[in-house]
Amino acid sequence: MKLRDCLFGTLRRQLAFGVALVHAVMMSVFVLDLVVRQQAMLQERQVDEARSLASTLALSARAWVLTRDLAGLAELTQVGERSGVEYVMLTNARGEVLAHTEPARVGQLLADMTPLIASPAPRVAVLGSSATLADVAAPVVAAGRVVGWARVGVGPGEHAVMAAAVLRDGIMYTLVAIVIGAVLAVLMSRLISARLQQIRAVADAVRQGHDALRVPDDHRDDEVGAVARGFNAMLDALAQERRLQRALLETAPDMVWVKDPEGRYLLCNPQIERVFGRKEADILGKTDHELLPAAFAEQLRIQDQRAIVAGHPVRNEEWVTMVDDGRRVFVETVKTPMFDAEGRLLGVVGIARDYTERMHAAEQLRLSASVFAVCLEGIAITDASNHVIDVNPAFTRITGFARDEVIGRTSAFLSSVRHGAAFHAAVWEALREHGVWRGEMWIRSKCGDEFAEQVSIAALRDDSGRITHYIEVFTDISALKAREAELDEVAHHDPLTGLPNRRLLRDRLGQAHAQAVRGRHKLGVALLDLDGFKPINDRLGHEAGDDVLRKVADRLGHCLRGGDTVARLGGDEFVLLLVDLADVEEAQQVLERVLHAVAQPIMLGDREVRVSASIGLAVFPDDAAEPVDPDTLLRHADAAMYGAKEAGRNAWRLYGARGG
Amino acid sequence: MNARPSSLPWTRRRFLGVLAAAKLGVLLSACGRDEPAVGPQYEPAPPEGAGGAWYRLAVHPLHNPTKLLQTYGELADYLGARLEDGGILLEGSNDYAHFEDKVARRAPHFLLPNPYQALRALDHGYRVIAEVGDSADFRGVFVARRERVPATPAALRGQVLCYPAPTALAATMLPQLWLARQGLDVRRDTESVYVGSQESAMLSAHRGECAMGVTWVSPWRAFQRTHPAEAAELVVVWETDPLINNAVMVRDDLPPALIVRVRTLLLDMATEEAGRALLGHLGIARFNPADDARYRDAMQAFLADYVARVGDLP
Repeated sequence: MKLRDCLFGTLRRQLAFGVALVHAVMMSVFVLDLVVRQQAMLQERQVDEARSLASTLALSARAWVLTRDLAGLAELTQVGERSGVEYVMLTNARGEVLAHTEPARVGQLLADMTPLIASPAPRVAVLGSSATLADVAAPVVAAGRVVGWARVGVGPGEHAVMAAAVLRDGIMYTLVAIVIGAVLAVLMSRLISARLQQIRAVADAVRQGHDALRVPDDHRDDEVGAVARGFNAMLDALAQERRLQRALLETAPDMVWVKDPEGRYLLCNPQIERVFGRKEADILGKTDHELLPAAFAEQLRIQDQRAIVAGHPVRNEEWVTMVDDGRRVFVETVKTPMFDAEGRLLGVVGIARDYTERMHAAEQLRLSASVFAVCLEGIAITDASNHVIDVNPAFTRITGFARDEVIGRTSAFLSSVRHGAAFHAAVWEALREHGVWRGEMWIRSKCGDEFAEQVSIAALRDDSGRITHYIEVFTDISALKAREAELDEVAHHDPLTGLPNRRLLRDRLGQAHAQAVRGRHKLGVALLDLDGFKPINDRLGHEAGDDVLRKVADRLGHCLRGGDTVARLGGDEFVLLLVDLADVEEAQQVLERVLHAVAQPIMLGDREVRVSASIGLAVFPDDAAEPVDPDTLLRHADAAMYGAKEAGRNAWRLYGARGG
Repeated sequence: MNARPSSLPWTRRRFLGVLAAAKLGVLLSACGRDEPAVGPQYEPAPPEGAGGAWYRLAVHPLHNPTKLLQTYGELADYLGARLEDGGILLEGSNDYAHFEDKVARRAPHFLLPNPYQALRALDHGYRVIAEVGDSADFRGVFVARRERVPATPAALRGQVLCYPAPTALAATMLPQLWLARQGLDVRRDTESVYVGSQESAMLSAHRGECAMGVTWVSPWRAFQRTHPAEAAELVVVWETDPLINNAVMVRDDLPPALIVRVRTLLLDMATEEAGRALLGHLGIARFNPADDARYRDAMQAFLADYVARVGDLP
C-alpha cells in the first residue's frame, strides 16, 4: 500500500493513519520530553545526591581531616557498592588527596580545585554535572577554617536504570498508544465511513441511473447526517433539473445529442430517434458507425473532430435521411466541444435544426423574388395604408417610376383622371369585402401618359385578419386595348372614313332611342345619300371616290353637335343621329348646315369636284301614336331620303312631313 | 499525463519504518548526548622541598582537633604565609597513639609535641628547634568544683580522677608523679579515667563525674576563656612542678633553609605585631630557643622519677 493511499485513500485509512501518526508524534514528543525531563531530574538528583554526600562527608570527615587520619579517611571514602557513587575523595586544604576510592590517587593534587580553594567564601560547589556524573566538592570546615575538601562524583547508578526503564516504558507506551489509537480510529472510521458508504452507494446507484434512490435519513444531527440530508436534497434538485432538461430535450423541435470523446452517444432526444429509427436506449452507448452507414458515420465523425480541434462551435449544413420515414431533411448542425476546467474533452454537444421547410421557403422566396424581379407584370407592394414598400422592375418599366421614387408614396400617384372617386371607392370596398379586386384601370405614367392596365389587387391579412399589405399586379394592356380599339374600330367604324359603321350606329341608335324613350328630348335619325358621287367614282376612280367620301365624312362631323353621331352605312350613305333634339327645327338647322357643308367643292389634288346630299329625317318620338323602334326610324329616314332625292336632291325631307 | 518514475516507492511499511527509526533516534539521542568532560583533574604533588610544597605541622592532641585548629591554626597560617612558596598545614591526631604513629612514620614535617613525645620523636629523626612558651607554664593543675575541693591529696583515695590521656605529659604524667610524691599510688589508690582531652577532664570535674579534673596550665587558661561559667565553678586545687614546655620540632630531612626560616620565624615572633598577636592567641609569651639536649635531659630525669614513683611509662 503506498503512502499516497494512506494519506489520500479511503476515509478509514486516512483516519487510522492520521490518528496513528498523531499518536506517534505526540507520544514521541511526550516521551522525549519525559526522557529529557527525567534526565534533567536525574541529573539534578545526582547533583543533589552528590551535594548531600559531599556535605555529609565533609562533616563526617572533619576530625579525620584535621587529624589526617588517613585510615579513617579511607574508610569514609569506601562507599562499597553504593549505587551511583563513582568516587569519593577527601583532600586537605590545598587539594592534596588524603583519601580516595582509588587509593592510587592519594597524594595527588586536584588541579581543578585551585579556584575553589582560593575562593574567599568556600562553599559546596558543583564542579561539573552531566548525565553520567555529578562532581561536587564540599569544604571541610573546622573552627571556621577550611581544612580540607570532600569531593564526590555521583553517576546515574540506579537512576540510569530508572531512566532506561522510563525510556523503554515510554517507547512501549508510545507503541501501545499508536496501536490503540489506530484501532480506535479504525473503529470510529468504520462507524463514520459506514454511513458515508451509504451515501457513496447511493451516489453510485444514481450515477448508474437509479435516480429515485435516496440516502436513508437516520435523523442524526451530526455532520454525516447533515451531509446525507444535503445529498438527498441535491439529488432531488438534480432529478428536478433532469426532468426539466428531459422535458426541454423532448419538446425541443431540434435534434439534440451529446457524445463522449469516443463518439458514443450519451444523450439524445426524440428527434434523433427519428433520424436513427431507434429508441434512445438503443442509441446510447453506441457510435455513429454502429448506427449509420459507414460513409455518413465517417462524415459525422469528421465533423465532430473538426469541432474538437477548433475548440468552439462549428456549423455545417447537410441533408439527412430520416430513417423512420425516409424523408430527406436539410439540417443545420452546430457541434460544440465541451471541456472541463482542466481543459479535458468531455464530449461534443450537437444540435441540428430542420431547415427543410425554411429552405423550401427560402427557395420559394428566391423564386418569388425572381418572379418579382423578372415578372413582366408590374408589381407594387404597399402597406396597409397604401404606401409603397416595394415595386419590381416591370413596374418601373411600365410606369417609368424608379423604385426609390415610389417607395413610401401612396399609389395615388398612378391614378388616372379617367377614374373618379367612385371607382376607387368601389375598388377599396371590394378589397375590404373580398380581399381582391380585378379590373381594368387606367394609370398614369411618370411622363403623364395614361394607359390601361389589367390590375389585380390582393389584400394580405395577418392571422388576426387585419390587412397588412396590398399586392398590386398590373399588366399593360395598352396594346390589347389598342387592338381592341382597333378591332372595335374595325368592328364599329368604317375603315374608309373612320365613322361608326352600321354596327356601331345600331348600338348608338339603340342607346339614343332608349334615351329618347326615357327622356323629354327627341331623337332625329337622318339618312344621307350623296348626290353625284357615282360619276365621280366612275370617272376618277375608287381612290378619288374614297377621298371624296373621307372629306364629306369630315365635313359631316364638323356640322354635328357634340352628342350627335354620323355613321357610314356603306357606299355613299351616311346616317346622322341627332340626339336630344328639342324639336324638329333644331334638327333642321343641323341638316341645313350639313347640306351646305357637303355642297362645298372638294379638291382632289388640283381637281375640284362637287357633290350634294339628300337627307331623310325621322324624328322620334313624333306625333305618331305608335312607338317606333330604331330600325323603323332608319326605314322612315331612308324613305324620307328618297323623298329628298325625288325633290331634286341637295335637300332634306322629314318623314311624314314636307321638308326643304 | 506525465508519470514520474519512483525509484523507491513509499509504501506504508517503509514510511512507518522510517518514522519509527526517526522516533527512536530522537529518543535515544536524548539519552546520550555529547557533554563536556566532567570529573576531577589530578596532577602529582610537587616533591618535598620543591617549590610550592606544603608542609605538615602535627600538633600533639592536647586538645580535640577542632580546638587544636582554633589554637594552632593561626600559627600554621603565620608560618606558612612567611615561607617563600607553599605553606604549612596544621593537623591534629585522634589521640596520642595516632600522633605517635605519625611521628614514628615521620609523616609530618613539623611537630609540636609535648616533651615526652618530643623525646620519642628524637628517636625518629625529628629535631627540636624551639620551645613553645615558658617552661614554667608546663605544669599540671588539679581542678575541682569549689564545693568539692579535697583537703589533701590523701582525700583522693578511692576517688575518680579524670585525665586527658595516659601519655599527656603535663596533664597526666606530671600530676600523677606529684600525687605519687604526695604519697598516693595513683594506680591503686585512685581511679584514673582518661577522658580524651583537656577540656573533657575539666568538664568531667565540673559535672561531678570525677573528684578532680587534671589538666595543665595552658588548657586551664584556655578553658577559662572558653568556658567561663564552668571555670567559675571550678578551682585549681593543686599545681605540679613545671617541666619543660612543648617543643617545636622539624624532621631532619627538611631543607636546612626551611628549618632555619621556620626557627627564625618562631623565635622572632615577638618582634612583630602579628607575631605578638599570635603569641597572645597561643597564650604564651614567646617561643624560646631549645634543642634536643635540653629536652632529652629534662625528660630523661622526669621519666626516671616517674617510673620509680608511678610505674611504667604509658
